Amino acid sequence: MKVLIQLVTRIEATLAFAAAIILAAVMVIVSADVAMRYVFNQPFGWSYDLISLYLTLALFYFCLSRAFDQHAHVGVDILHYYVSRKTRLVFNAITCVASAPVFALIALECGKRAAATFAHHDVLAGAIAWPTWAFIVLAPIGAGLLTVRLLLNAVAYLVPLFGGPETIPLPALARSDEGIEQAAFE
Amino acid sequence: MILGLVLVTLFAFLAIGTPVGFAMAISGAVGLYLGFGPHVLMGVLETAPISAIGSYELITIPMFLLMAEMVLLSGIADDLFKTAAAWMGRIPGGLGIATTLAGAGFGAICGTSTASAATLSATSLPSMIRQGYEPKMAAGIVAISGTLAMLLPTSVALIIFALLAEVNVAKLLMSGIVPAFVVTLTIIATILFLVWRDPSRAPVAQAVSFREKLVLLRGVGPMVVLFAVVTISIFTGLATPTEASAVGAAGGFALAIWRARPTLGQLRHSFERAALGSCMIAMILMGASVFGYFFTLSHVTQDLIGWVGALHVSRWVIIVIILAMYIVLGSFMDQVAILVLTVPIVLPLVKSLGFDPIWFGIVKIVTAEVGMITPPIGLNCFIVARYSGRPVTDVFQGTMPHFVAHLFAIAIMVAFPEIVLWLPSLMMH
Repeated sequence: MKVLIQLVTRIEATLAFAAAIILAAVMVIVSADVAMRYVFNQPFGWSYDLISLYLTLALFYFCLSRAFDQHAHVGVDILHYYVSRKTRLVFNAITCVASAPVFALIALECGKRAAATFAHHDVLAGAIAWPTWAFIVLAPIGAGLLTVRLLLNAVAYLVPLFGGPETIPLPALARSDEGIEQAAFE
Repeated sequence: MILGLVLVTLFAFLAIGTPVGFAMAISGAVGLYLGFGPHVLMGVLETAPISAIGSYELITIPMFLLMAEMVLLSGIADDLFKTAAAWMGRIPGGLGIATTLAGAGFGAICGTSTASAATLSATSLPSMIRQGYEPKMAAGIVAISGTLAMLLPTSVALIIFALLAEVNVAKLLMSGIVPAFVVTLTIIATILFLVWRDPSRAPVAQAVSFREKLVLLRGVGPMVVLFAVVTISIFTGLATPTEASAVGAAGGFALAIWRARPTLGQLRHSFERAALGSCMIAMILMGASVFGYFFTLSHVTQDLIGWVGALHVSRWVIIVIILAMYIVLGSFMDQVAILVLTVPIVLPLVKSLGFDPIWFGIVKIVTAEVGMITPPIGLNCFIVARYSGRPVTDVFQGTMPHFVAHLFAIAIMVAFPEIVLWLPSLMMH
């Protein structure tokens, strides 16, 4: 269990690093595009599709699971102040168990769609024939990894209820010192 | 029946702390499955995860978040208060006014109010308390000044509203400037009123030489230039908001390299934080998209509009009720979450009553920001309490005069929509 969590964490960290590089690439491409338009009157013809399809989706799906692990997804935790730690573990386990099938279905359906477009050699209409599968496949990668993370976390939250060790800490409450430290610079 | 079940599911998941985007995706999926069958659900889950995210305009959000990260990394934001204090310190309540101006300046670069409140807490609050300011008053000023961030052109909330409401992003970003000015004046007027009632609350600061003032002004100059470049390029149409945000991020990056000489590790950390913040927002938009399919197929919005139309109540009563609801929501929910949960339902209703969507977006955001300082759980007050070491009740007491003053400011914006709509009406495109 611990090894699995470490493996998933490492994959998430690698993908998040890739997302950081993608973010830098978007900044450079869009700024350069503006400069090319005004200085040389020759804007990039390829940047719009590359960014709106590939880079935006990669940025999102590469961070999706990492953001969950780091508790970066915003939620309402008012009830958590009034319940015991055990109840909080149950709440978090329910979140993971209920979310996992939705993201598994997203991974499955988008995976099937990516496979079909790959088999048909589908491309986007336009000056550059961008392959369709190459951006659709980003969804099953991100949603699939999140599904694994959700299932692992569900088990990790349930284990302490039966006397086992707490391998994944509960998210910090927004109005606690730790939560404020996090929220303040997000 | 199914609608009721879906709403109960949504609120149950929100109540147990499920991330907002996840809760919307789960309840939307449940509704689609129960109401329209597995084929519709599969169809939505095959397309929404791509279509909701694959948008060029969406890149504006990560770029503005990156710009804020880079400016924070450069350390230039810390000088904002010092500069404002040097220029304003000699007038009654001057340090408080300087905090407000620093809040506006910081908000111009960093579009989130929690980060703004935290930064002001760390910089301006200790100075005010050292100067002999009444701690409650000082904490109240910091908490309220943080809320200015959501109105200025780098505001993430404004971009999300524009995407949800399908209004022109550039016009919406510009429409927040005059209201931000009104809100700034409201805070300053409240400070002056409080000091007039009891001058001992805010002693005058020590004089600073004119030469020193100029040196400080030159220090924050690059940040002012960065904001001006972004805003003017959007206003004049020289660049789209997406392009302006990327140029702003590149400018912030250059500023960080020039002033702070960060390590590769620090840069990586800042880029990853901006990426994670963007992912959080995109996840909410994706969840809202799945939920939105259920709402559209169920005709909920049209039914609601029909029901309200049959009530024969003045449209002003309805808008006041809606705004009151936003104050309550703002006191315990994140601005982005409020937007995605309510805009798809409330905006068509507001439009059907004859109100302008851009005007509504601005008034809604100001109102929900007031919620962030509303007792007993307004988040900005907790942030200020944590950083100032004051009891949170003190901070809430300090924000009360501003809370009341803001209600007047909102009333003015509701009564005179031109305050919001004048600047975007001057745009050429």
